Amino acid sequence: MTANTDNRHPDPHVVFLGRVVASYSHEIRNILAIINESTGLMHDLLNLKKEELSGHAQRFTKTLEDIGQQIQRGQDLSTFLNTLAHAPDKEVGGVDIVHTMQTVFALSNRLLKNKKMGLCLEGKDIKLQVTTRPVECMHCFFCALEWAMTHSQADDEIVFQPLDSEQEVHINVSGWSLDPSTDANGLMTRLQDLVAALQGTCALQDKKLVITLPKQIES
Amino acid sequence: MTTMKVLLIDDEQEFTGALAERLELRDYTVQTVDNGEDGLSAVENNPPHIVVLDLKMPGLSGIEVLKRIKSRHPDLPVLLLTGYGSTEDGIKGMQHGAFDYMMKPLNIDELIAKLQEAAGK
Repeated sequence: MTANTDNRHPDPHVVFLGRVVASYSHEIRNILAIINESTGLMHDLLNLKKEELSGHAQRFTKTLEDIGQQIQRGQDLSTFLNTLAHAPDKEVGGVDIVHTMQTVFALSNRLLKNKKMGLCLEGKDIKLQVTTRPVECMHCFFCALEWAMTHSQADDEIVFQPLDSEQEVHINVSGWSLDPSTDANGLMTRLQDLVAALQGTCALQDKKLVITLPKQIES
Repeated sequence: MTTMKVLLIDDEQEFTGALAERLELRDYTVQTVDNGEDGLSAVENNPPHIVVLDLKMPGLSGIEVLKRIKSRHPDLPVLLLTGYGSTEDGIKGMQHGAFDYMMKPLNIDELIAKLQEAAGK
């Protein structure tokens, strides 16, 4: 790896993509902020003139609630998008394992829904911080999910379970129902390479894929 | 009771327009400006009780505006707004004397609570 005095990811293309995505996510937030205040103002005005709008108030209220839900969806998406964008800021840095998984999973929701597969993150309330390579870590989780989806069928629920274990973090991936011995797309090989770059291990144990990462990567 | 005067400094005029109206419905007096230089002028010419300041603006940055306000008016509370997903900018702002920071989109009730908290200080 090339020496990197400013601690950013050494690949300038990755840094560039991060900056562009960060700008887009910031713009999305501003748009959502405008929508949020505008709908909030409509709420406030409706409350003032309730007796005049009594016949339509319920429809307005329902519509505004729907808009509010979309705002929340957009807010969550932009938060995760911003996490993705800032991953290249440091070649090695603190990574919140659960939040990073949520970031990766949020971008895969539509694909999972189309394939009629479920995805569950167990233990999402635990605080699990490691010092590792943020971009490669995100890529590793994405690859693990991709592998699991390749070995799942409709109605399967893929489960990611992060576990704290002294100097290591274990991520158990289960719920897939197809034969794991085939690796037609080379995903397992790619995943193993990514995990190795994070100084971890990746192995199949019974009906689980177990990824083990050190809490502190050695530089 | 004196009405609280709020100065909103943010380059997104649709955002400040709607927010100003909502605050005025709640009995606040609100002035809005869309850039840092005008914000600094407004602080001098029409002193507010609190400034609500966006961190990311073209021209003079939010942090620079904050520093200049605090250098001349150290007791004037400044509430920062940030659209970024990380809290680093907000924390940096507080190191430069901001009263607090909030993420966009705002929750109006939380904003009101922060304004009242600032007024009490």
